[in-house]
Parts: sequence; C-alpha cells; structure tokens
Amino acid sequence: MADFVAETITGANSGLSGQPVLDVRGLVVEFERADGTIHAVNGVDFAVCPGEWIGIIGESGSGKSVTLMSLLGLLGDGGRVTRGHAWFEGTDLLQLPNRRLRSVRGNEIGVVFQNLAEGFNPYLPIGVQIAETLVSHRLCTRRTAHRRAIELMRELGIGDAKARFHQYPHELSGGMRQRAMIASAVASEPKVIFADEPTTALDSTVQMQVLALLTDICRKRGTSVVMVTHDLGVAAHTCDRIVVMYAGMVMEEAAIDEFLQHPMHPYTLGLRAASFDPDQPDRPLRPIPGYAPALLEAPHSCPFAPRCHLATARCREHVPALRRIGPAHRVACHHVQGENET
Amino acid sequence: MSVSPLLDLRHIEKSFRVRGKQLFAVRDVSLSIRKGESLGLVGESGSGKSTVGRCAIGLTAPDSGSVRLFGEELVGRSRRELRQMWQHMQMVFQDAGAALHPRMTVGRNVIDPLVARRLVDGREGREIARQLLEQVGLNPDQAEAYPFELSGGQQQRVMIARALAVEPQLLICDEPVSALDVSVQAQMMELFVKLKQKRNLSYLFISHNLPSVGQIADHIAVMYLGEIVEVGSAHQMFRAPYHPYSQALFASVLPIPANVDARRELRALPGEIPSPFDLPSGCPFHTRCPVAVGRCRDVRPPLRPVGDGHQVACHLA
Ligand SMILES: Nc1ncnc2c1ncn2[C@@H]1O[C@H](COP(=O)(O)OP(=O)(O)OP(=O)(O)O)[C@@H](O)[C@H]1O
Ligand SMILES: Nc1ncnc2c1ncn2[C@@H]1O[C@H](COP(=O)(O)OP(=O)(O)O)[C@@H](O)[C@H]1O
Ligand code: SF4
Ligand code: SF4
Ligand SMILES: [Mg+2]
Ligand SMILES: [Mg+2]
Repeated sequence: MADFVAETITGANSGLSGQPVLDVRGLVVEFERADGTIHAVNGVDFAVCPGEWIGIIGESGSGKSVTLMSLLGLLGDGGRVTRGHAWFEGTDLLQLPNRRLRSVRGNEIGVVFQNLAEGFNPYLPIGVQIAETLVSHRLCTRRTAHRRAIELMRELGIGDAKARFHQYPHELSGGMRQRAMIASAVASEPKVIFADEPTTALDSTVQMQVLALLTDICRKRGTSVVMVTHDLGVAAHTCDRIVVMYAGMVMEEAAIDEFLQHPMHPYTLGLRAASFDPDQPDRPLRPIPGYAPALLEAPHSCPFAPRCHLATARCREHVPALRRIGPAHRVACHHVQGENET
Repeated sequence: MSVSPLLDLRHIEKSFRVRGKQLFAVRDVSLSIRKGESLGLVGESGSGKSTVGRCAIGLTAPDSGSVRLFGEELVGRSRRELRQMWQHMQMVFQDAGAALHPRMTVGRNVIDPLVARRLVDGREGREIARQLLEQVGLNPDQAEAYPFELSGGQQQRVMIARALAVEPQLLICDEPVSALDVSVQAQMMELFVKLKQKRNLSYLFISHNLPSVGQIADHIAVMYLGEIVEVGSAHQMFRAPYHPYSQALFASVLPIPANVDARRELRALPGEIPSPFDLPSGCPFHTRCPVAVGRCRDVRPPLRPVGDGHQVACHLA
C-alpha cells in the first residue's frame, strides 16, 4: 500500500496541494458477454486533489467511461468491479452498498454526461429537477428551492431562467440542456464532478460557452473535476493533469506542462500526430494505424504493440509497468527510460 | 476542358412550413465549385448546411434560385433525369449503416450503382468491388461480409467505395465523419485526401467539425442562420477570418499549446443562435456580435469582396 502511495502522482506535483479527495487504486472492471469476458479496465490508478482538474484521454473503447461509471455504481448488467479501491472521504466507494453509493452520486460527486438522456428525467421540467436536487441535499428549504434553482440557472448563463424553469429537457437546445445539467451537478455543492465528454455533442461555439462556464464555476467553488474527453485541445486548455488510457490501462500520466512539453508514450505521441492543430492547418495528420483491441483477454503484453512502430519482442511478451520517470510523470512503456535509468 | 464549374448554386432560397409557421432555412446562398477544387461548408447545427447540400443534389427543390451541375440546370428535373445526372456526382452521408442494404453483401452494395445502370455483369462486378474495397482501405475478402458485421468506420468506407464505383468527379459529403471515433475520423480523412489527390476529385464537404474540413477544403464557406457570411481560402479562414462570427467559430477550435503559459483564455460568444422562425432585422449576427454598430440592426450587409478572394457580409469588414 505504502508503495502505491509513493507511486501515484498527486496534486503536490502538479502545483496543487492537499490530501487527494479521490484516490483510485488498481481498478479492474470486467463485463460478461455472450461471446466472452470483456476486460474493459485493467488496473487503473489515479488520484484527484482538491480543486484539481484531471483529463482522461484516449480513443473510444479505451475504458474511460467505464472507469468513471464503475466508481458511481453505474456499470449496468454484466459489468462488475473485480478488484481495486476508490477512496473518497475515508470510505471505499467500491465497497459501499448500492443505496449508500446512490447518495454519494449526485450528492458528493456531481455528474455531467455527454448523453443528455442519462442525466435528466424526460418527464419533469428541468427547473423542478434542479430544485429537487437542492431540497434533497438540504441546501435549501422547499419554499426557497424554486428561487435558488432560478438563481443557479442564471449563474450558468441560462437566459430567461424563469420561463425555462418550466420547460422539459427536450424543449431546450443542446447547449441549454448541458448548462442545466451542469446546474444540477453543482447544485449539491459536490467535492468532485465527473464529466464524461461534456461538450462533445455540442457545436464548437456552444462547446466553448459550456467549457468556459464549467471552468469558471468549478474554480470559484474549488470543485475538483475528472473530465473524459477525446479532444486534446480541450484537455490541454482546462486540465491540471492528463491521464492517457488505452485498452483499460493508464499508458501515461503527467502534470499538464510536462504533458505539453515532454509527452513520452508512443501512444500519446500517436494521438498528438493524429490531432488537428488549428495553428498548423496544413500539417498532414498521421492517423494511428490499425484499430483498438477487442479486450477479450486480460493484457499479457503491451496492448499497444500491434500498432506501435517501436514494438520489440519484449513488448509482445511483457506488460509494461506504469513507472515514474519524473516528479510529475509516469509512463508505461518498455522503451521509455526512467529518471535513474539510462 | 470546359470552363463552367462542376457545381454552381445561384441565389438559393428555401423555407419550410412548420406547424403553420415559416422557417427560413437557406437565404440567398450562392456558391460554386470548379474541377479539382473542394469547398467546405461550415456552421452551427441548424444553420442550413444540409439543406444547401440537398438542394445541390436535387433532393430538395429550392423555392427560388438555380442549381447547375456540369453546366446543366437541375431545378425542375424529374427523379429519372436526376438519376442520370448523378453519374458524375455521388453523396456520402453521416449514417452509413442506414444507407447500406442490410441483406446484400458488402461487395454487392458497392457495385449497386453499376448494377442499377446495368453497367456490369456478376463476375466483372465482383472483381470491381474487390478493387474498390481495397482502394478505401478494406480487406477485399470483406466483400462477402454483411454490413452489420462491420464497424461504423468500415461501413463508412463501404459507402465511399460505392460512391466511387461510378467514377464521379464530385463527391457531396454531409457530416461523413462526425459519427466516428476520432482516430477513425483521422483515417477516413486521410482516405478522402488521398482520393482528392489521386482521382482529382472535388468535394462539397459539409460539416460542423472544423478540423476535418480544414484537411480537405481549399475554400470554406461559413453559414449563419441560413446565410453565407464569409467565403474564402481555407488557409486564411483558419489564420485570420474577417467576419466576427467566423472569428468566434474558428477561435473555438483549441490548439495544443507548447506549454501551460501558451494556453488561451477560453472566450465564448454570448447568447444563443436566434430562432430561424423569427430572424433578426439587419445583420443576422447583430444580436451576438461583439463589435456591432448602430446600422447593423437595420441594414443587412451584402456579401462583398474584401481582397485575397474573400467575400464577407459585414459592415465593418
Ligand atoms: N424538411 C424540413 N422541414 C422543416 N424544417 C426543416 C426541414 N429540413 C430542415 N429544416 C430546418 O431548416 C434549418 C436548416 O436545417 P439544416 O438541416 O440544413 O441544418 P444544418 O446546418 O445541416 O444543421 P446540422 O449541423 O444540425 O446538420 C433548421 O432549422 C431545420 O430544422
Ligand atoms: N455494458 C457493456 N457491456 C459490454 N461491454 C461494455 C459495456 N460497456 C462498455 N463495454 C466495453 O468496455 C470497453 C471500454 O468502454 P468505454 O469505457 O465505454 O470506452 P471509452 O469511454 O474509453 O470510449 C469497450 O470495449 C466497450 O465495448
Ligand atoms: S511497450 Fe513497446 S509496444 Fe508498448 S508502447 Fe512501448 S514501445 Fe510500443
Ligand atoms: S454587420 Fe455589424 S453586427 Fe453584423 S457582423 Fe458586422 S459588425 Fe457584427
Ligand atoms: Mg466514453
Ligand atoms: Mg446537417
């Protein structure tokens, strides 16, 4: 255990301080399917400090959403956590009975999903749902809830909040709904917000509005955020630390400045080469060849080896461990040298 | 070689009646694409991009204006005549899964446009299908598979192979990569660019995804509330667009900075896009424009040239 503590990067290294609010260790998640077991998450650990903003990036199917969902007890049928801990406020979320976990979710951990359908009840006006959150978390009385909900909606830039209070989720534009979802996520004043692709479904100018709001409100309240995104530009502009996932494993983790200046893992470099940079619109993009793995077996080699131009026999035979290579930097690759190795 | 453009839209207007109200979808849109050139059409959801695309193919009849394809007027043609004109132009839409015949093999899907025109027989068709699949980066043996057995990206490739079967000169793509994973998007864009170079294909490339447009388009037209507010070279558009709306739009694609100090401040446009049922007077952007002046509220600015081939609809440009 002590060994693990020394290994995880905490905010102290990314310029922030304090005990982690959330500390995830050795998380393993599997799904039972007709065609076999899907090894969706294979030993993930990361810690989140107060006020820190963590970005989880990686291609689709790399286990980003499953990681977050498992911590919230939202895996659904066939999914189960087979190993690991998630320390939050002195308790292990993964050991909590469902009923207790439900009260943590939405109460102490706020949630903003990409898919709006998951976030709101379609049959209730959004204002009522936000007010309900406030009341159920005893942040105000039933009498004042209506007014507080409208204030909160205004704070999130929802114009004409009084009228919108009575509208149903489907009557709002995507951007408005996402704002309303953020309003209901922050309503309970949670310590951490999980945001899974919070702006992916939105137009780029609306995406910018929502991001600006989310950063603003979380900074003001000192809320930590764990954000899943595939947009490197978005992650680079909002996060304090980046976790790169592939095949359910952390491939690289670094404080943002280190991530921007010295990305190391071949997969991270591949993601960057495949990303459009508006400052160099003419640079040809180099997509990563091949496809993400099917995850039908637990990793017994570097999962990236079939797509990696540096792969050697060692990569195909041994799983690379996530090793610290600098004060705020961990990498899982046989061919990246650590601090004291050369 | 003819000098007339492959595609030429002049003063297209289109509105829809929705629950008794008039919805203005496209307003006085003109654009043209020459051989070998590609135009990107960008703008927010609901700005009218797809409607322009559907008018360009003849799937939607404009209320007024003209659409010339290879110099021939398309407005007012019958379905049968249209099908003839589609010989040299093909379309690729967002939802490939729905566009493929579920009970036909992938190979049969690919050569369907040729079979429909009785241009091939079975044996020859099979060989052509295999070649086309290979060109779009699929294993030719997948010709025997059924669409549902393929991933989203692979289905999209099959759609492209099918579009290529008739050897078109112009490909109209409406959000062809938006439903795909980012890494698959990059692979698809690589394919589009390769086809552009190898076959001298032209594209009308419609997308709200600016990065993908940036890779394929020589020129970009920006739509807002049914109007083109700026059109010009892709290069200039990414570097320094003229119209205040284009500026906000292109600034919202965040670069990957060299270090933390190079991060930009996140600045957002205020407000929401106005209702297409109730268009603002004057400049359509005046309700949100950070630099609007008095006359913007009353006078609609025409699209006019501002140098280096750009046309901008703004009183201040
Ligand atoms: N058949 C139709 N009947 C009624 N309204 C329509 C119809 N087709 C389009 N519209 C409306 O016309 C406007 C422009 O729609 P269009 O589909 O062209 O937008 P778009 O720019 O392609 O948006 P997106 O990015 O969401 O695809 C929208 O307000 C839309 O709701
Ligand atoms: N309900 C489920 N049943 C079976 N497999 C699932 C389920 N949810 C996710 N998976 C699988 O787990 C892996 C990781 O998925 P996910 O976390 O959604 O990826 P990401 O969010 O990184 O795109 C994928 O292979 C996915 O197909
Ligand atoms: S361990 Fe080997 S295969 Fe994996 S990323 Fe490193 S070099 Fe590539
Ligand atoms: S015409 Fe006026 S309102 Fe419209 S974009 Fe130009 S400055 Fe802004
Ligand atoms: Mg996901
Ligand atoms: Mg559209």
